[in-house]
Amino acid sequence: MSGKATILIVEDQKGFRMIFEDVLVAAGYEVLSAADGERGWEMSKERKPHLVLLDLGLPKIDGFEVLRRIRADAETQNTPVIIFSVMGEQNSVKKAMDLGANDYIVKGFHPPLQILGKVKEQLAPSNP
Amino acid sequence: MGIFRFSDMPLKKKITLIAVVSSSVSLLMACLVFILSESLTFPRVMRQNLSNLAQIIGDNSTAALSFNDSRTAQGLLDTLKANPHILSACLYDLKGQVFARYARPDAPQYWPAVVWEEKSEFSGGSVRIFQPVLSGGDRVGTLYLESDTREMQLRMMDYTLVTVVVGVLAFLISLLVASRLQQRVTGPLQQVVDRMKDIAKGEGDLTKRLEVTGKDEIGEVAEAFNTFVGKLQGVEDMKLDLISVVSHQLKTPVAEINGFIENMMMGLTGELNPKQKTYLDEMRAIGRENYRLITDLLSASKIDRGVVTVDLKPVSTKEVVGLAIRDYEVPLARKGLSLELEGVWEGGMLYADRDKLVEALRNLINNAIKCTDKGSITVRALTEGDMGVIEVADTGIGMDAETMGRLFTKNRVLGKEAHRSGAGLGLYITKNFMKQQNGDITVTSEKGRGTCFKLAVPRFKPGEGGRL
Ligand SMILES: Nc1ncnc2c1ncn2[C@@H]1O[C@H](COP(=O)(O)OP(=O)(O)OP(=O)(O)O)[C@@H](O)[C@H]1O
Ligand SMILES: [Mg+2]
Repeated sequence: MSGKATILIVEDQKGFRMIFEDVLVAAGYEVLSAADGERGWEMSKERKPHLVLLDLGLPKIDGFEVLRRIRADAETQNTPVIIFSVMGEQNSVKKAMDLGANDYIVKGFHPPLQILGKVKEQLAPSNP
Repeated sequence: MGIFRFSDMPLKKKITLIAVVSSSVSLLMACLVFILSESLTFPRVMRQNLSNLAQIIGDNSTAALSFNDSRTAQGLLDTLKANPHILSACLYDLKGQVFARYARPDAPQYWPAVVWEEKSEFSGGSVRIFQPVLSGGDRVGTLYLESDTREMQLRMMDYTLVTVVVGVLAFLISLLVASRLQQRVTGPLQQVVDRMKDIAKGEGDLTKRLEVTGKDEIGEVAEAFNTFVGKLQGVEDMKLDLISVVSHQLKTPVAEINGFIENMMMGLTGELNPKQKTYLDEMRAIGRENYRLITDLLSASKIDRGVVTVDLKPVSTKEVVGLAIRDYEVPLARKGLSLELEGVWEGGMLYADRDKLVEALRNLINNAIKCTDKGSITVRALTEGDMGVIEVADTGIGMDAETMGRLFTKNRVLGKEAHRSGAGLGLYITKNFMKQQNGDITVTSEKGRGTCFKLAVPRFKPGEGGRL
């Protein structure tokens, strides 16, 4: 099933968006992307991706708010969310995990293989 | 013993000394002047008194002399007994013959020959006067009186005693007062000095201010100092803000470049030829090193702004060591070093902030690789009482005492060796992170033989849901 899973990347930095998109596309996933929080939330609701990769610092509405909305809406509340964080910002990671994020990826620190590992882990059937 | 130098004395001693010396000197001067003036006026007074007495006796003896009544005259002189200071007295008639005489019983029974002119003299501890006895302007005889100077001596002794007692008392009191008062001068000054030393050593808390107690010079110094510290703090804040902003701005692009490099190395852009692979390897190493440096700068600025927080949870030694050594395979292989793990798999649970402990350990491993050219690096897990310990030992260049003394500070950031080996922030951050986790870092090293850094954090005791 991993080949057909749809993953939404919500990330405002063009470079990171491209890096993650390429890794995931190469691994056979279908990838959607949004460059701001508002668009990210709309796409989560309309396209119902199997997984959302969510940056925290986003224009319009921030990642925490997007996460809150995803968890508050009956249609999306079970979608796994992996947040992107920046090295040395454990506080925001903690806040996001408390809000219901499933895992986190530290940008520039976790190499592609690990990112794929975390994605697979969240999409595995044993994972709710 | 060195030479005594006034300028080397502490201020409080100086002030006390000045106060005591100047008050003693002025008191002494006053006493001396008093004694001197007394000793000058006293003979005059004595002479005057004696002359007055002679006048009275002379006046009373004119009749006796005129009528040649020596018995009356003798009776008159005998009344001198009442005055214990009179040694002897003698009344002479006009021819110079002794008419009547008196001598204190214990005094020498001696009377000089008459002297015609009026005369007084001090000698041998007594005063003598010869004074004509006049009756209606005509001379009828001469009176001689001799008095001892004991009264004067006693008075002088009294004065000297009083002077000494008052002097000693005044000295003690001025010492007491001066040593009390000097504190009001030197106390605030000492505060200024201490704070300045603190700040000069780089440990000073720039948010603290001196209490300005008065409008005197010390108050002014304190106020000027506070203004100065305020400006310093402004500069310091600006520096920290700048570091923080610049690092944040640098972090994202560096991370993006690293991401692109990783993707290329994964083959996402197609097959790589060996040269491309080598280039990318180098780029990745540089990218990672830069990322580490930026992260360190951010961590250090967080420490300096006091905004570091820790998230203490149970974490296994194995996980921490695993995360820490992950990226060092290539650098180790490149230098031909081996990595030995000891005791890591049986090492217990720690109560720590996982990410901070990992960063601390990575800093040590990074240093060990940097400072070792051949041999091995050993990561060893053990327990010491309530503490879990992770050691990083190398067979590298070691350190001399001077380097050891500067470890854990960031004094070297702008030093001359700074670009040779790094920013010099690693151990400063590590130490702070360990303290935040209720742990510590210690080091042993021998120049030319190797170094061993030791991280200690509290152990976690399963079952009771808390720290040991
Ligand atoms: N294992 C070691 N062997 C020998 N010297 C060491 C070792 N670890 C640290 N040092 C010495 O201590 C200094 C300070 O280390 P620290 O990690 O604080 O800074 P750095 O490694 O120079 O820079 P940075 O870690 O910021 O890149 C080093 O420059 C080095 O001289
Ligand atoms: Mg270092």
